[in-house]
Amino acid sequence: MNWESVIGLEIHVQLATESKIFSGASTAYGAAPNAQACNVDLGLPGVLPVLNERAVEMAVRFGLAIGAQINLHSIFDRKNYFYADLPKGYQISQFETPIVGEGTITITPETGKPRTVGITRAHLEEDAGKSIHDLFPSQTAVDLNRTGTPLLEVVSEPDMRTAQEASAYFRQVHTLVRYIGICDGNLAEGSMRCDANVSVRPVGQEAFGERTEIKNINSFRFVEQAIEHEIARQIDVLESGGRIERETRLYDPDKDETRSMRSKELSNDYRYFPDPDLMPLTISEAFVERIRDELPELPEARCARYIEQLGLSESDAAAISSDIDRAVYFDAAVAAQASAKQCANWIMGELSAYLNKQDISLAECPVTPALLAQLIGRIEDGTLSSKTAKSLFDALWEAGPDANVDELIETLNLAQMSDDGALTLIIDDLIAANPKQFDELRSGKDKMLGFFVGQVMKATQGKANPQQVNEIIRAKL
Amino acid sequence: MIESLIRQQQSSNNRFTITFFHQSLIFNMSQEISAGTIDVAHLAGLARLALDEDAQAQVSDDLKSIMAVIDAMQAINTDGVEPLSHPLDASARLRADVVTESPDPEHFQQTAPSTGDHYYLVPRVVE
Amino acid sequence: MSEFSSLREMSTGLAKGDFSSVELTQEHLSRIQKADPSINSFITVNPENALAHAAQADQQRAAGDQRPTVGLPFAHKDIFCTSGVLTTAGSKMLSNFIAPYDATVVTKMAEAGMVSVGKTNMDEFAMGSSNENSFFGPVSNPWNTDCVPGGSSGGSAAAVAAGLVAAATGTDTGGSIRQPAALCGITGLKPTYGRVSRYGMIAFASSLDQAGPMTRDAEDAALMLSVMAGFDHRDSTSAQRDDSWLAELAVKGIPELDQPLTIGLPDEYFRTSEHMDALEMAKAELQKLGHTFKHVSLPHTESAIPVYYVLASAEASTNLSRYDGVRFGHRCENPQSLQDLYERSREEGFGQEVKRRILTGTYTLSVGYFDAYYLKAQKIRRLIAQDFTNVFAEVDLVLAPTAPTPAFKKNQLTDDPVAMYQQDLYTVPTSLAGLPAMSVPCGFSQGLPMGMQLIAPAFREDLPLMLAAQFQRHTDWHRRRPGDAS
Repeated sequence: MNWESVIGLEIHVQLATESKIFSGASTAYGAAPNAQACNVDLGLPGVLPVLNERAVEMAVRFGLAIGAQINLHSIFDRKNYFYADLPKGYQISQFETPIVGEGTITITPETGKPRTVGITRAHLEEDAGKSIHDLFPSQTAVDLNRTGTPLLEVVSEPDMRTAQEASAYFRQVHTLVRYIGICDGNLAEGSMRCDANVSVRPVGQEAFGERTEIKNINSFRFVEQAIEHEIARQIDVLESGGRIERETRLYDPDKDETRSMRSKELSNDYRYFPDPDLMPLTISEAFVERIRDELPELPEARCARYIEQLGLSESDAAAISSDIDRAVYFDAAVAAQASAKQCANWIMGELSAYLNKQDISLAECPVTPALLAQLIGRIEDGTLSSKTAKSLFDALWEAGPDANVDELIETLNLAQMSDDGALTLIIDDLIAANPKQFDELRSGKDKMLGFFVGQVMKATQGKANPQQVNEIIRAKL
Repeated sequence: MIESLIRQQQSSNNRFTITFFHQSLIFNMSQEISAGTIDVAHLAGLARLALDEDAQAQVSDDLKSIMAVIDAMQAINTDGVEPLSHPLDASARLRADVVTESPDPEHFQQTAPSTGDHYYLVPRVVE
Repeated sequence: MSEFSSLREMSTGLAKGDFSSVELTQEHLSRIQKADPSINSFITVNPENALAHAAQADQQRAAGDQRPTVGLPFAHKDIFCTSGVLTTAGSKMLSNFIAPYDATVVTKMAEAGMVSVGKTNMDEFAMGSSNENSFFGPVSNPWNTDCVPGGSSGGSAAAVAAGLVAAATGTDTGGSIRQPAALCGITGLKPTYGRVSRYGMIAFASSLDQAGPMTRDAEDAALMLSVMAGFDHRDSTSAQRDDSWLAELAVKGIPELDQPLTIGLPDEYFRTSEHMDALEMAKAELQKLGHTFKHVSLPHTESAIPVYYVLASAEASTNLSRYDGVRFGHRCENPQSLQDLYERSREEGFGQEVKRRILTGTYTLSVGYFDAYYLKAQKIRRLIAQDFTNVFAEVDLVLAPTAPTPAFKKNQLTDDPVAMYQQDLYTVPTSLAGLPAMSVPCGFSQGLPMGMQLIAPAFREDLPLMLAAQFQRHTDWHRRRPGDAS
């Protein structure tokens, strides 16, 4: 039988606020155990939550970025369950009336055509703490630093049909949240995690099969692997006559398998009800409009602009617009008068290679957009050859953001030789030293032109302008 | 309802053994939410309360009489009435995104039953 | 200085230098030491802290601090977190809980220079109407030690009535300030929801809980309220209001009413004549003072008890989930698993009534029941609030009994939770509507004090305060003491 899988993701986006969603404790990553858990986060008797305005703004920003309905009136509910790292015995979340309603996100899987994934909703909630099982013998250690970190839970429709699409969707949300500055996108630190709802059905069948939920996937690679694995498992079960149980499963990347998480199944009656410590959240149209005005140009619009106005190829435009840091760098360089095409080539080529090699981010790049623009300018005005330009880039990388392009060209003697007389002298010497080759050239063997140009470049350490060398040699014929 | 309370209060020698509600109100309530079907063991599980059988039986009786009182409200017509979640009926106030707390785990853990290296400790959870 | 002096009288004595705050505090402490064993109104008495604060207050006064509150002894209900001091909420669960921070009310009282002598007994987590649900034992009513003081702020009420302190803080969720005030013959004010910060006050039912003063008279209630009230950025439900009128009351005392009031008498609260003689006499007195009465109706009154028990139990059931034996409070011996840790710690740490309400709330919130109970109750809550809005279009204030009976005997209602809940009959509707209401001593029934309840529109505490002050200028019910002939 042919099977089709149906996938929906719930992505938890950690919002990049300074303080927690309901307390004034810091959200910074990596503090000593419980050094960022204040009395509100610890759920001490008598403490009360007060909502962080920035978290609300960020949720609205996301809603606007996916063209979603913004609910001017939303409610915070308590989701009641007991767990060691859930201090109050309930999580404050939004159940029936989330702040962000239906929207869409367009994805482009590596293979296949772009498609639209429906977003059911996005709601604000607080994160739980961390349980660590291997620090103390027979004890679980609880660190509540992460407790109360603001999360935006983005819930998709079951619109994806392959693990690749799911992964592309996860990447697209990652791109978007970094674009609009609501999340640092640091997967290693848990800034984005997702749960995948997976089911399979015979191709052609309308009704969904029973689904399982895979919890806590935290990398692009694992999304794909975990879902692939779960699809295969479900097909296996069904083809051998079994039934899929609705359950929560955990992906183990070491073993590449998912396994049932019975511990989370103990209470599935969350007894949601409006948190009486928090009054309903009401935001104004003006608040929403202010955030709309602050919204940066989004990836799709940016990509289109690069193609239409700057003449980039589709692939270059997509590659540059897909990452906010890259796009901002590119825009800055173009604003500093760099040719857009050259600029794209440099960013996707030399610059990316250097960043990768040194494992640093664009924000830490020692070659600023202005310096790159000057470098490109010096290629275009003929001062630099493509070879000396690379040498200059090397030098700029070493020198850092305060470097002076023209001084470096001078100090390192990187300017192309454009002095006709000097070049003519060199060429004359070369003709005298290679009479046979010159005769061949004269008798129409055009390949020999390359030989002479190469020799000139060698003699000038690459600084001669090949165009000019060509012309001088041709004049000698 | 209050009338019935008071009547019984007056007719009773013991002022305080009162069955409160009009029988008619109890008959008015919908059958499916009657208090006869409370699964106390399930509730105790959800609420994480270890109750032995005696305690469960006692709680079951108590809940039945409490729910009988509560179910009297089913007689009120609330068609078209918006729920009131808060007496002030106002909106949430927001705080600026500023770090104001610098918690000291030593301080907060003075009162904790079991800690180690500033972690809270609980019996090992197996996942 | 009599043991029944009011805060105002003591304040005058301190200002004149008749005695120091240290002397006054010392005297309070010895009274508590002598008399409290038979009443059990305190869970914690804190002589060292109290005397240190008193000495500091004396220095402040010597340095020219003329605020009337500086150096006045009082007590906190043991529901307010007090940094470094045991804070139990009357529960075994918190019988070892030294709070690591101060409630906003605690901070405000301290900043006003007031001297807390200790923490008063209460029904566990404020759930109860008799103070018999305390892990620290029942409290006796100073008027008759076989009787209960009411609850949940029974310790505060009894301590004031017995002359151990002139004032105490209380909290009121469904009547927990007003009913014990009535049963102990003192003045108790539940302010408008949002008037006093809930930060650091251990939660019972968040949408109903409100702190307020329990005092000898209206003047002291105003003085206490002026300190306790005020916007708090740590409480999302705290109201931002202009409180300058309260500051003025604190300095100048309560002014005379400049015109007579129209007082509503809701039919639903006057359907019996039993225990109503005192209230009838109070009505006659108020009439003599020029006020007029008008019969009004609050038609949804009878639904208030069921609605209250749905909402309060639901909120309580989740507010009390944090008591899990992990970060603070009682932990069972030798837990075998996380599950075992939770179930036994909670079973051992909570008393009967608390467990009953947790389970009631768990039930009404569980899948399939939410709409029929919680949502339905919220809708009726709106109808109840609307009833009051309608009535306040016609009258300035509402007058009603505070409790259906005077103080009852210990153990009389303990086996019948539903009968106990009826004690809140007249106080719960105002709690649901979030309105300010005050209980004022107005006479006796069967030799025990009775209270009348003055209910006002939201944020109009000035009205009951002024009316009560006027009433108390013309009557002496608030000056009657246990042992006086009644």
